[in-house]
Amino acid sequence: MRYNFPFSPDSPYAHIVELITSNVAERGVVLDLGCGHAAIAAPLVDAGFQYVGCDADRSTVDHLRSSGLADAHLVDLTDVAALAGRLDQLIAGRRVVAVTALDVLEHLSNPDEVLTALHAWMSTCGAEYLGVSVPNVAHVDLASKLLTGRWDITPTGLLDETHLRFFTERSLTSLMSQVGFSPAAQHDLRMIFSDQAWPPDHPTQSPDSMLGRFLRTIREQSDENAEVNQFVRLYSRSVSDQRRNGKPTLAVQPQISRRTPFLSVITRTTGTRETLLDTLTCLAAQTDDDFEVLLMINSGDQNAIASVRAMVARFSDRFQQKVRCYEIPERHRVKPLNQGIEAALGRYVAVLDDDDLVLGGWVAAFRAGSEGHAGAVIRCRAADQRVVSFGPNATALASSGFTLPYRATYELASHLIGGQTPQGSVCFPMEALETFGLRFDESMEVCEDLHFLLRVASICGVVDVNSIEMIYRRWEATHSSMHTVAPEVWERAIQRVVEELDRGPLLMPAGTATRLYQAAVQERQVHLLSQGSEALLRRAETGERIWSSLSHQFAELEGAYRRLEADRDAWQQRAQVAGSPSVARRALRFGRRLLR
Amino acid sequence: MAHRPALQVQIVVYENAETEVARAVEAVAAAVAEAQSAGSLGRVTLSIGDSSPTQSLTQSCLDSAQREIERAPDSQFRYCHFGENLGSGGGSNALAASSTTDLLWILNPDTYPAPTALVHLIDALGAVDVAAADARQLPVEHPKGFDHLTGDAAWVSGACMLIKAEPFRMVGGFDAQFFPMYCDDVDLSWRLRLAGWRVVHQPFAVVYHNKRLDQAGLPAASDFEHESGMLSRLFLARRYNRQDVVDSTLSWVDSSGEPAHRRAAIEYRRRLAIGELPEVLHDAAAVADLNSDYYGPSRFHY
Repeated sequence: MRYNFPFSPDSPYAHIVELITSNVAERGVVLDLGCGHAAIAAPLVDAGFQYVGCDADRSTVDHLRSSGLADAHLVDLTDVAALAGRLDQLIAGRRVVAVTALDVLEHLSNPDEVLTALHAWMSTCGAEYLGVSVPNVAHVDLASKLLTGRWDITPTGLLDETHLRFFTERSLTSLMSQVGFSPAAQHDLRMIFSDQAWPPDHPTQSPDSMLGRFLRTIREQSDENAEVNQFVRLYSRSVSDQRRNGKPTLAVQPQISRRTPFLSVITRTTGTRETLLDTLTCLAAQTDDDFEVLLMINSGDQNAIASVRAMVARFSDRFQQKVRCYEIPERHRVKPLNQGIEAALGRYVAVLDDDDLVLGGWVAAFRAGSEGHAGAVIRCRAADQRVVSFGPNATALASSGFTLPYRATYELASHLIGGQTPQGSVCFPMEALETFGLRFDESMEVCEDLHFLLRVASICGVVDVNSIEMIYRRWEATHSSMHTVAPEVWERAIQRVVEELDRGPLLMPAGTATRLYQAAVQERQVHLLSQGSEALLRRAETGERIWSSLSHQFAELEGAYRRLEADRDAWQQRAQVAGSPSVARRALRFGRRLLR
Repeated sequence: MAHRPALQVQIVVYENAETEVARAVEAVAAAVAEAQSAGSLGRVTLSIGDSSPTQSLTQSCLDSAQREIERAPDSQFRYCHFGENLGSGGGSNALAASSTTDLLWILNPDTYPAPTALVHLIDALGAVDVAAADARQLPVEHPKGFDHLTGDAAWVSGACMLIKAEPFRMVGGFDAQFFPMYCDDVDLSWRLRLAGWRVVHQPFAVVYHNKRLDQAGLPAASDFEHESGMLSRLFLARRYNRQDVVDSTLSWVDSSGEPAHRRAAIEYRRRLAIGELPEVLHDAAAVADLNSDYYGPSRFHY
């Protein structure tokens, strides 16, 4: 016997038993195809089912029988012509409630034919459920290893050397659905590190390496199966026969044609703004006709809804055919955007609010930007214009010329503080939104557009179109969220965006090294300048100290000088008094009189 | 005005792209349908005048324009290749001359009126003394001022103007000497006002007008527009008897050195020499505002 894996709680065997016991109400035979050592026999019997095991390997069957499993049979699944007869023979009229094929399909050269024959037989005998387990070749370990050119076939495991067919969730689901099985329940076996998680320290394998972590993040964003080792799924025979025409196959036709139309424009409206007419008129006048408009009417008010529909119906047939209206009664800022993305058919998606304006070359500019840059976010320039509300229906009347407050080009660093790319000046590649399930974060009060832009841009990059193609109208009264939301709410939202980007490695566009170099040079210059200014400051302080000491000394000298001057004056005075001829003469005369 | 006035929509083309003309026609048809179903419009004629050297619209373009407009009840389509470049004003006059309708809707081929534009424009012509109304242009809104209660404006734009045929004829229509275009609408408006009519701006009527912005966020003007605009300014100053403005403008142009402006000055002097300048109107100071950038009060500046 080639495989003898134990029935541990974290094995595909335990998972399939759990799926059967909790989904299959009726008790009867569980027919286990490719049963090997019949790992699921005991727990199923414990749960009240009858177990019948089949295998194509005679020694396996003999071993099972000698171990006490009487209902073990030799069955060659690949002999599809004989399959039904053989199964009828060994079931012998008993009630089959489920069939299992655990780690079997990948060993068959013709799983499509086997499943088709099995489906037919199950329909005849009334068996409802099919449980399967197949390895996932899109496990992150295999995906990241393949990027470095490695596809390591191993004796057992995800790339067991006897595997003939390879399954991803998409291909498994597709094949099952073609045959006529629809998903009933699943309990996949997840392994963060599969049997392919080697060699150690491999740069794409190790989640501790930056590249490994980045690839893991990308893989995890694509679907939920990055760490699924084995798909353990329970299917039921479809009630209605949904089989497509033609023979079921694992092969898919290459999807080489691009999505059409070129652009899907998502416009949210509450149905109360007359400005929607301005927006729609600018759209109807586009020089590039290859777009659709998804009008998300976010209102439960029938009058508002009717007025939007009536507005659209007034346009030409050509334009009306471009517009699809969706009613979303629950008032929500962000949900309508995601619903728009779900409904969009275009190659690119743009969000244009119901008071935004676009120039006639808006769509054409996006297309021009996309040429040679397929898959990137395309961004045009935007201008700001202030408007005032005029008249009974709040017509937007311009009250200023255009200003250009937004950066001419996209750059991550400057965008982190927000407010650099109005929503209507950018369009997103639908393929990326689909592949990574990228949607607007519905829990965000504000900045959901910035959050979305940064996430998509960090994967797809941004191509800037140089022309101004969009006009953001800034209401002078308290209309926009800019006015009604407190600054701290904005700050919090932006912090959250930054924190989210900080969680994993970030992909940066070509040319970033130069930008970083320039930033580093500037930083060094600032550092040198600040060092220089510190030295100057120190010298100034020293100078000040010297000056204060000098001035103190000077003051002392000055005092001393003044005192000397005063002394001199006194002495001079005395000298004058002493030297005055009249005094001397008087003294002389006085003396002479005394002598006389 | 008649209860349900008859309308001629007139578009003068000069080598415009067919797709552009087709879009304008499509928008006109929708606006006409809206006005007719609102009960404010009777029969309609769409007249396209072609000033191009050779017929610039193919038969299939004309056929689809005809189909588009003739979906409206009581409507007809006319196309006229002038065989010479009559200019914008001259072409409009030629189309108006053969019309018997109450109203003329003068439209540039690079416009796309909103479906409700015509209804609002007709509404704006309700008062007997209002001769013409123009629409709010998008996405580059015109900054000229207007009275928020009455709509009164210094002039109305010919890019999308609804005018009563009677006053149009009374003042002799556009002055074709403003060739090939620009400011002929200012001149027409001022002559209407001199004759006692009012012209109004209708902000609820929306029209897309194909304008682009340059890298500084200013409405982009081609060399041709710079030249034509300057020449028209000189014509206006001359017509409204402001020789001081003519002189100061010419001396500014002579010193500024802008080639397009210099060409305009050369052309002005050439026409002056051969006596082909607009006739001078005396006593027109009350309507002629040549001191401001936009020939009248403005709400803001580009």
